Amino acid sequence: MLGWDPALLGELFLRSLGLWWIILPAILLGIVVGAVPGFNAQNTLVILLPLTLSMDVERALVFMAAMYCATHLGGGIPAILVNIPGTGGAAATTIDGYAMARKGQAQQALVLSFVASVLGGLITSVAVVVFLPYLALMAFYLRSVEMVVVMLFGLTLIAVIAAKDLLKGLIAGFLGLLIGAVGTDHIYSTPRATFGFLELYDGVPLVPALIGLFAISEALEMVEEEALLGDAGLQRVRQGGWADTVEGLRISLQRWWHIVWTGFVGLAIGIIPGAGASIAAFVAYQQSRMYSKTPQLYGTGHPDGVIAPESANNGVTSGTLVPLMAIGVPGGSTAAVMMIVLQYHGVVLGPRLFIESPHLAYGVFVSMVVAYILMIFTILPLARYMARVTLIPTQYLAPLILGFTIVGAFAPREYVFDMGLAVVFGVLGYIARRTGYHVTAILIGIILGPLFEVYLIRALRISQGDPRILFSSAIGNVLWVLLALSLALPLWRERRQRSGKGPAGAAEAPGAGSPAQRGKSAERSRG
Amino acid sequence: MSEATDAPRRAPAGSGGDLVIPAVGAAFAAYYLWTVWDLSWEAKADGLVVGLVLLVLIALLVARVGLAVAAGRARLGLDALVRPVRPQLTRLALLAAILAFILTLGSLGFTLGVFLFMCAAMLILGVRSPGALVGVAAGVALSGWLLFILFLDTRFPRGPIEQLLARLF
Repeated sequence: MLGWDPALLGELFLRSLGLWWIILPAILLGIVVGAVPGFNAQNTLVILLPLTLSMDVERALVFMAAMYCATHLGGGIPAILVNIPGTGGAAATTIDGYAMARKGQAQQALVLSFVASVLGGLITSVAVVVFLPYLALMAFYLRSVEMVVVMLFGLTLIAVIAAKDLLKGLIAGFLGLLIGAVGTDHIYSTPRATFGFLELYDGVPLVPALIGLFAISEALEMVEEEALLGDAGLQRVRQGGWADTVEGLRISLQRWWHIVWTGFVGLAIGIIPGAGASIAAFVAYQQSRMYSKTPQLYGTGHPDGVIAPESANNGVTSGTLVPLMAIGVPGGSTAAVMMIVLQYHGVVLGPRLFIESPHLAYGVFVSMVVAYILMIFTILPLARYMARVTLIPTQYLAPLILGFTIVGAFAPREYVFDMGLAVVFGVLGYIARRTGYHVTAILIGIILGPLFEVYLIRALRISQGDPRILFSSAIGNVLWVLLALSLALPLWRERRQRSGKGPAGAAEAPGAGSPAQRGKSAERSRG
Repeated sequence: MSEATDAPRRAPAGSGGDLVIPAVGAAFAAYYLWTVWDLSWEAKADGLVVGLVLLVLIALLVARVGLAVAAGRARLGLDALVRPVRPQLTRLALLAAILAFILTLGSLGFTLGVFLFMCAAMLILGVRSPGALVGVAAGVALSGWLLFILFLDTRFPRGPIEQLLARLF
């Protein structure tokens, strides 16, 4: 029986706090790893396996949990400063975070991101400790049929949110899904659409795709400008002192409820195996805009547009560990690496863990709480200095971005081929940006592509190829209706606007066009 | 508010630029479907579903552009992608520098390759100060060497600089 004991939790909290000397380096490493495209918690944990396998299991778990949480926070830093998400989960942060940076408000945006990440992660970790027995049941209700719809629903939301034009957003998303389906199939390992490259047999690698679509295309966009900021923005950043950090802190705390509920959106999505931070961040962004009194401000550098995705992608961190600890099913790739380490130490995951080793089962979530508390003191003072990246002239910044990220494309698989692939995606991303196809929708499609295929084929094999199985579940059907509504609503709003009945700009989606353009427009709107 | 100011650098609605990504998408979908056509249904189901939906969406967009062109509300041209010409030449030069970096990486090695690429990219973007060129490029190359070669021991191609540094450290 799953249950919890306050005395045990108090003891675990103090024990985790006593491991601060493990948590702090893990946080710093996690922030750096999260901020560098090409690295993430999963591949860093793989690199560090010799270290974690040699540690005591409790310390290894604390180290991995702290680093995992920190990577989700770190991913938002380059997303805000240079429009390049460090991880897929930070892709939604670019929309308003970068727009704020282009207005000279990078420091504030970073503080918003840090506070939202920390509070969102902290509150959801506490919630997981309290409600773990009930949350674990959620993963049982979503099977392959529901997951197919969840994936399509996520992609549709991204198309609706990220692109000004719904049709272009859907084309970008489905192109991404098809690119994600490159490689050998899951049953017979037959290569599909690999252009004869052996390097594509495992599918299109995500890191070169992310680097190409975001970093290379962004660097190509920068060519026409001397600086990221206009004169007013430059002056603001140069004069920016601690007051901007304090102001960012004030704005974040004022929006505490926003942080809480978007964090819970992340938690709920994180519990679903495979859904992940990318979908969570976009769903939270979309929900935030939907319930906002000022939806027209989203995409122009709105604080709520930074808070929602950052809180949600950190809410995911505790969520992905729920199915791992409760039923032994990893909620994501990082959780899978953690599972390997735990199994190496002889830990049997699942309901028995809560009876036999409650200090481990609950300890991981308590250590996340401690990590988040320590994280805010570590990262907040750095916002002021990080914001100065936006002062670098583009003739230096663009080569720096290109140099670091192209090299980063090599890092995960160590193929020179992946660097070339990043360039191909860079050109695709550049064309997409110039013609109003949002690169985020393409990237999320590529991320979801392999997962979508796994669930689709699993569902179809159960029904022996009968597609009607996709409409055979009550939860799935509700999700289909929501999907249809999310497609119909923007069209309905557009028609209303054209006929002059809707609020001007209310339905206008942000993010289309070049990010440089968004920044410029944001600058103008501020002026 | 902001979207209105986006107009100068974005392709006009229904312009030829709008059709580049769909053209790439349609060609890729056709290639994908061709490669899976003779496979078992499990291997092609995903490609068929996604590819056909993509083709339908592209057809809708092409129809929309066609109607806009027929009504005189749009024109087929690639202005958004090819104009202004000068920055496009700079972009092409940058892409050429990237490709040269990737192709010569095997013979030059990581550190020298990154150094030369950084110098080339900054020169293309207008940096003329020798101190800045050498300083920034050397800083990036040495940081990369420290992180990727010395600490992470990745399999980046080793060249003369790596061999020299290996003797020193």
